[in-house]
Amino acid sequence: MTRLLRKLMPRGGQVDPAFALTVGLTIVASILALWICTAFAGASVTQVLSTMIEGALGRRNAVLATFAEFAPIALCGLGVLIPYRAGFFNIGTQGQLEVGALAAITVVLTLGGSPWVTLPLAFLAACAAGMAASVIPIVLKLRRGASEVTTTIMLNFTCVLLVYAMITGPLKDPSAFYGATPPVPAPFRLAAVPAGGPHLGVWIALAALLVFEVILNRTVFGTQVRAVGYNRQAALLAGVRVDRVTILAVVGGAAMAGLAGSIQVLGVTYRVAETWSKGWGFTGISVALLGGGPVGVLIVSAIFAILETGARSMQALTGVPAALVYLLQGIPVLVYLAVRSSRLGARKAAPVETGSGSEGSSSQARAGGCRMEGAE
Amino acid sequence: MAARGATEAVGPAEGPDEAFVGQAAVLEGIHKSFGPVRALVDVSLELKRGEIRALVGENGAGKTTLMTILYGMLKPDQGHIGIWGRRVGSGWSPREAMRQGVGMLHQHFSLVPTHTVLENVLLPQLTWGALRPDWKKHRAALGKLCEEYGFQLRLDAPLRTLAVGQQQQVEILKLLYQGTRLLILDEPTSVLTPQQIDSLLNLLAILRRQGHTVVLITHKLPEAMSVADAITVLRGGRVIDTVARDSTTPEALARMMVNRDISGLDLEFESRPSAEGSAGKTVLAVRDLVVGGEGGRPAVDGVSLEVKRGEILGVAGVAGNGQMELAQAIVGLSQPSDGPVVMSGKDITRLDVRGRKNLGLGFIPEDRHEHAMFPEMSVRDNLTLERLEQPPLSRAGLVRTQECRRAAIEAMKEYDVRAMGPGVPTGTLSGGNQQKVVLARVLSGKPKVIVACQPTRGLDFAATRYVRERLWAASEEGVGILLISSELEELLTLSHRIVVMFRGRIVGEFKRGSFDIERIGLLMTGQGRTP
Repeated sequence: MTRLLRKLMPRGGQVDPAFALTVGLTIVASILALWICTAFAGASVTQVLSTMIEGALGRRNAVLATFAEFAPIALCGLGVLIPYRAGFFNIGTQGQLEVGALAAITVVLTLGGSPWVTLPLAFLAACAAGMAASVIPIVLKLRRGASEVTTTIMLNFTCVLLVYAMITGPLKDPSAFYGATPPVPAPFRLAAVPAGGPHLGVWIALAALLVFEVILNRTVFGTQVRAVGYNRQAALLAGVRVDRVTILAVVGGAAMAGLAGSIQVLGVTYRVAETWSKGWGFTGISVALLGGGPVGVLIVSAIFAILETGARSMQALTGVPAALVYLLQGIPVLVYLAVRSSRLGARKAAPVETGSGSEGSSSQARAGGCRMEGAE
Repeated sequence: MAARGATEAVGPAEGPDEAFVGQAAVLEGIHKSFGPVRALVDVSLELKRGEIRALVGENGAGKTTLMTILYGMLKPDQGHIGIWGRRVGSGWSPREAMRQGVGMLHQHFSLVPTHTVLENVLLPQLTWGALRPDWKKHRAALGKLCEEYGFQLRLDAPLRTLAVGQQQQVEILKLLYQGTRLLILDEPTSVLTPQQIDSLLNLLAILRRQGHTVVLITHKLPEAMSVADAITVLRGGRVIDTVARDSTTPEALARMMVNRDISGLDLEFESRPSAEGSAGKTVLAVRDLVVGGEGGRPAVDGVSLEVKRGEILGVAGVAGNGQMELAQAIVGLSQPSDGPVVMSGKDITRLDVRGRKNLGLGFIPEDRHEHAMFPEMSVRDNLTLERLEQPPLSRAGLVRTQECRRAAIEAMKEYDVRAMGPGVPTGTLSGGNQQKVVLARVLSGKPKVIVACQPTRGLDFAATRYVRERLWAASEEGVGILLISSELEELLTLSHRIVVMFRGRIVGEFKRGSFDIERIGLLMTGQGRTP
């Protein structure tokens, strides 16, 4: 069970008020945004919504496109979620995805051979590339205390530019007019499973969600990840190898982001080219925040994928700009963050305790290592 | 944290009041509770204009709480406040207090390290409209003020280049420049060196001469005796007495600060065997332990102690005298700069927290939210986390949920943890039950040694009693316990031996049966060291 589902379930007859508020505000704000945007385009809200859903789920191809969109979003969601549960905010999924894609296509193009051997190797290479891209932020965080938010954001640029350098340089398809790798040869393109269904990568993404759901909730490691994420100090004192757990969680997440790149290039785009990638890695951040757990990531990714694919036909048929869906994706994130930082969200479940008034605060502050004075 | 009903409590009638005339400040019948803890009970206090008043008491006596109420940071549940002969209204806040010349020097400075002294002092007065403050005018005025009060400050020096004592002067200068005439200083000497303390005390005398009223919150009796005109003793949220400096002695004050009705303690503990533990072998020892602190002075300065099997060794002391640093060095949260930590004859100084824990070192941290608990995680997860890697609770890395549940329910039963079930988030439990979870986790690890810091802080009577019972029971089973507490009553009840810590050193040792409360109190406050 994930946090999301647990929050949906009434506990002791009560729904978490912060969660209810988030959902309520999201719905209200989304309808408001929809209404404003549609009014400008001279369309009606119901019309826009129905074309959007029609465009995402109406026809067989639409459903397949939605599935294909779902897979990288969900994997990148995991890429953010797993480190996040261990208290590490991995904003570097986009970069990890890109290097993953490049690694996968490089393996496929250089090795050739039987897909049964080469494809698993390509996936492994993608995971490894994603992991490698997360090493610098991890080391900087654990050794030097550098904020992982900054380092992972900046490494996105490094990774994207590295990929750009490769596809305009050594890996460039000689016959292409712009920076792009040669296409993935047909035998290595991910097959539809079953025939006419979603491509293999979608199943891989679903399997990854399932595996991490089990890992997080049913394994010693997952429990330790959650403990570290909630309270690093207490986990340390409980004998958890805090650094080790953090590293494994981050590396695991980054591997998923790398894997996302590989299934996208082998299953959908068939090459890595300039501007080949939508911001799946960044969408993953929203997905992880809102999902809270692998099952939550699955649900939110599905919704986001429906919005993404539905947007195209919505724009074509109603004239409402496709950018509306990014608004709709952003609203819940903003609402979530606003509610969480409000008093309701920050409200500690524990009763207020002040054993000795404000006199105790000095030693507590010291124990927490957060004295703010400039005493030197 | 403002309590409901406080608006009425502060009183409807704002304005001159007979009772308040002639006083700098009057607090009348102040009550304040934090949840179940009654921090202040019917406290009344009058401050004369131009006097230095020392407020002394142990940690948790309510000194700071009382003064933050006077300063408007906390609203009293009941009671009235008067300033300069006028009763204050319901809008009493630090802002209003500052406007009326009441200023408070907090233990933690609020200064901007990269700004200069001048900028720091002016910061509270600069308004958005003032695009170009009249630096020249302020500089001249401040220069004069510095001269008047004997501050040796260079106004253009960046704050971070200043010593702590000078930074404190900047804070005081800031208050004075805002027109503060009633200064409240909260433990101002705790961060200072002896020389800096002297110059601060001199400054207080100058302030008095200039007509200021000063409140000095302290637990160090020598300071109170050297400079105050009158001394008010608080204990357990009540004013015990206010005495003129000349008509009292440090001994009398110490007695007032710590004296308790010993017969009111848990008598069962009293009647238990006393020196049983001291015959056993040593399970925990530190020798000449030094732990670095802030400002160059070591927080722990050459401490040696031994805990025997089955013994509870109490460490008495006012908070901030190195006890927490001692505990952290023992459990492995920090590395001592000198001196070994030895457990059952094995040097564990180089082991990390996990390594020490695996050898049987249990730790009950002072602040359970910060260091011991996962409020968002279930009671089950909290209870089993430490043992999760071992066989019954997991197999091949997979958690055996049923086993964990069973273990959690068992522990909940054994340690009387009252919760709806093992699945509820621990944060929803009451403070007492949370602490029982911590206790259960530590004790079910079958430790040989426990370091317990303030194990009953913030707990109600029943929970306090329960925790103490369990610690005592553990010691009877042979666990050596280092009990660090600033509550003397707790130490007197539980300890086989008590050592007193002051400024990072052990300044006295007492055996059960010959506990001398008055002497312990004096030693805690820096007086009457053992020769």
